[in-house]
Amino acid sequence: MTPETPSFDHLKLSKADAEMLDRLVDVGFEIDQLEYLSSEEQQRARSILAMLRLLEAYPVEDASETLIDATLARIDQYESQRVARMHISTAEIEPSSKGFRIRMPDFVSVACMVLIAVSVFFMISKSAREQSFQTECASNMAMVGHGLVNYALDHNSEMPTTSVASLGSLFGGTTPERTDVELLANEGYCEHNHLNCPGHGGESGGFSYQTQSAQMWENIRLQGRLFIIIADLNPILDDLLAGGSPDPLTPSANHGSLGQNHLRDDGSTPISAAAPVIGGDMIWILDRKNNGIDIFLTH
Amino acid sequence: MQFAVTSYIAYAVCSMSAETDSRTDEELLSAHIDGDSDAFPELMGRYKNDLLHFLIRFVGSRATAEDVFQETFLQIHISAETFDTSRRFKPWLFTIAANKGRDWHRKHSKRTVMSLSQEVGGEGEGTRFVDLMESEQDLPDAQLLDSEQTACIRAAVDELPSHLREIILLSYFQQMSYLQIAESLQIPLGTVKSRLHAAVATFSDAWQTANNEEAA
Repeated sequence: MTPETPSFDHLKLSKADAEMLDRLVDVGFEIDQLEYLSSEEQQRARSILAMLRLLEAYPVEDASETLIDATLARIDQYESQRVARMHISTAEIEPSSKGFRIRMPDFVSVACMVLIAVSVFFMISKSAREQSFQTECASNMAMVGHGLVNYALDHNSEMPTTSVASLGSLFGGTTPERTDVELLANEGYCEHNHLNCPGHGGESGGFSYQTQSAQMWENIRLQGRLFIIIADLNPILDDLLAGGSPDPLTPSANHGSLGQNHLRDDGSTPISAAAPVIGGDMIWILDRKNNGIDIFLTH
Repeated sequence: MQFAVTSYIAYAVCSMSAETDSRTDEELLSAHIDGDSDAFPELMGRYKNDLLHFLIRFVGSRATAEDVFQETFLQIHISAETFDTSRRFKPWLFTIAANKGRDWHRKHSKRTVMSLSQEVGGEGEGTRFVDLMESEQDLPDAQLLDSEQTACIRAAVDELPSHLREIILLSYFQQMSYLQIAESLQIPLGTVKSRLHAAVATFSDAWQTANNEEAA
């Protein structure tokens, strides 16, 4: 009990009063129906009844003429609303073998709840799946990074590269060279299954790779200015190759738009935010900053 | 259950004929379930004053009591098909009314509501026993009270916590037995008894205190 009420509940009738009250309740407060009362008991019964009769002085008034009308109107209103709600029920589904009926509102309600539950589950599931892919993708990149380090150690600090004639248009007609992870895997510096981002359904590709002219690769090797070796797919490359002018700040749609995984030359594999700017460089276009050495990722 | 939106009109026509319906309450409720539009107004008419008086005493305001009255009969209408017509209608009506009244108290009272099955008071330290026969004060006849005394009665009743007030009203005015109250409110019979004892003691104490103050 709270402090507001204890005084009420700490009051009790004396034992004699309580017993007499119980007897009065049993006879519907008809004192004449109590038998074999001593004079003291009669006096006690009358005292209790006199106290209870005071309750009758509580001011009450009879119901007005309109009370029943108002109540009926309220019931009518309830029924009208119920009928209006039932208008949605244009059909009933009756699985007769079970002997119960599902009304359309019930069906619609259940269907809505199921849809909401499924969509919430799907969103959670999708988010969890994207998170899982992103982690596995970064792990694959890290394994490729180990392979690259070992390859460079074995090959006079050179990176495994391959010529990509199809990218000549982006390099002023010269054929650039791209990091060659296939070579890496073929020579046993990493596994083939490390070369893909699982977010791309396990198909080959899924990554974009550092791409430079042959001269730049030499400069990189000499100056050690490479920041990013591998990243998730460059989303504007195809448009660039088609002669378009895509926005270099196009946000990454990879990993459910979580951002862009990338392998840095120190072996780390962070995820950048959706904006493709890393180290001040817009990594999806070639704009020749930093003494001609630019981070440019192609696939 | 059919309840035409024209029931109000039906009632208006019905009420113009002064014939008394000889059907029992339970028969009227069955007739209402079967679509007899005269039955429900007749049922309400039988209890309008009795129920309204109970509710005014329970909630302390006529306006609120009328609102709870309507809610009570609306609930009766909604739940009519679940009523076991082999049982008596009146206790069911007052049970629903008490529940609605208690809901109102719960929404509007600042007091913490006591658990329905909780016994009232213990006999530990702080318990005070009231003996009505030993009261030094002669109790006036309820019919002869002046306005100040009536106000004292009202204040004493209004001061009763709702869980005590409903018991004393159901017991004294509706003459429900302990067992009926226990079944209606779904609380142990012993709790009903202890609450009635506490209600009478509390009312007596409040009345005497208020009356003494008024006399002073």
